[in-house]
Amino acid sequence: MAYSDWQLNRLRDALRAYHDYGGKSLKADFNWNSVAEGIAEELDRDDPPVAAERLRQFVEGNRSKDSSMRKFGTLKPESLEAVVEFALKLRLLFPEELEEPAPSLHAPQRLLEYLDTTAARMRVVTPVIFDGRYKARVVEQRAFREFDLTLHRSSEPGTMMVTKTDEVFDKNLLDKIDKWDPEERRANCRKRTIYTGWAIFTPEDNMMVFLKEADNRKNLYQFTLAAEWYAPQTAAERLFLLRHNYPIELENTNRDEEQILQAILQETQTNIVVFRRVA
Amino acid sequence: MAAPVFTVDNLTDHAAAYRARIEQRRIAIESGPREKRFALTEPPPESKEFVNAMVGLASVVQNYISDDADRYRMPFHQLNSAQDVLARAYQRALIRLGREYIEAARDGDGDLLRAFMEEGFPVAWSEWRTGETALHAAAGSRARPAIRVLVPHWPDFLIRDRQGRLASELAYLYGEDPAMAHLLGIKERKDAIATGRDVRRRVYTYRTS
Repeated sequence: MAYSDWQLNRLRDALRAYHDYGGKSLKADFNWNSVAEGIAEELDRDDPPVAAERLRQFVEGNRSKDSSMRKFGTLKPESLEAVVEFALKLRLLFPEELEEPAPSLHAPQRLLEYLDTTAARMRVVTPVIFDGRYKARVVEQRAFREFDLTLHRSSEPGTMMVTKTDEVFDKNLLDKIDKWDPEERRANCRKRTIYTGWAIFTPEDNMMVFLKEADNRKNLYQFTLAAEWYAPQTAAERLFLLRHNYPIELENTNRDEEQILQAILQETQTNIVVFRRVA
Repeated sequence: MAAPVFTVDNLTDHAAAYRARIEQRRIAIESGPREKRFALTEPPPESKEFVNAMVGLASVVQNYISDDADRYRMPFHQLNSAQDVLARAYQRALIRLGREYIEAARDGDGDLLRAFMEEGFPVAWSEWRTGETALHAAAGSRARPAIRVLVPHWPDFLIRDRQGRLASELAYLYGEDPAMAHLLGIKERKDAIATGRDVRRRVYTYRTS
């Protein structure tokens, strides 16, 4: 079976994690030789199906001469099959993780069916092209955030897969960031959080984005707040989204409603993000 | 000076004053020299008393007693309605401050994190729904400035979140920072040896589901 790049990368991640954390206890360290022997042992073979160094080159790769990129080694098809069998047997990967690149689309489909009661789902498909990559920069008091939002076209009409990253930098770096290469950007980044999820387009032309923070599965919602008009089959250039996670907590409830409303608006303002298309 | 009385009515004032002290301390830390290693200063008595009141009252409603893995029963003492309202109000305040503390860690805001710690906020406080601590949040978001502040003062590196994951695993899988994972792994190993625990790491959990 031929594997695509994302499947090979996922397999590399699994083997790397096994190499780093696969020891029976914290006191036991694994090297690539132990990984190769572990594969042979687990698959009841006399010899490892792949040599330790070849396995290391497959997982870690080798730096190119100018150190600008990494070149990953390949495995013979029969060796690759053995490695996949090992990863699945040891539950380093679940079969669905190796087969399914995207989260399940059942939830957005059901929600869309509920929202579009005529069930004419084609009707809700927006004629504007939304898939692509968008960026936004939000300057805060002491830092600034860079959001990267990617909308992937899905085979289901009215739904899209979404990935988002949130990076924070110190405010004094604001005028330098556009000149950085990826390495410098990573070195200066104060944090980076990844979100994955999906978006739907409602019959009222709202985009509703439901995301989960990758490491702790906390929810983040984003909704269309304003929309620009685009001719059919043209690409949307900007998205005006309101991000929302926790409700705004009102500590001083003794104020009059006008003051409370002002406080809510002030807080909400910081959560309106303008995304601009970059690709 | 008489010890302060904590009631539902004065909770807002106490919380606002506590936040103001944290902000003041953050400004002082920000304007001071950058230190790689630092000792935490003792929190002022008013912060200590407020944090103790929050933690104490919150634990009254939080500490359910577990008979076994799946069954929980109510605490021994039943609260009357006034006590219940008071305890829940302070629990809510603690959760809100805890969320700000964990967000500071996730955002890599080392100065704010240190200000929280120096104002007596429980360093290893964890979010009750996910079991996430400041160390988990910083590791999962590759927030190195936060890790630098937390690591020298972290009480137990073997704390796991509700999914049974150690901070080093999050640094590796979600922070994609093998160096940070390695550092946390060393700390976990040292803690395990020092306390006679033999802790196994889960091999793998993948990012998407």
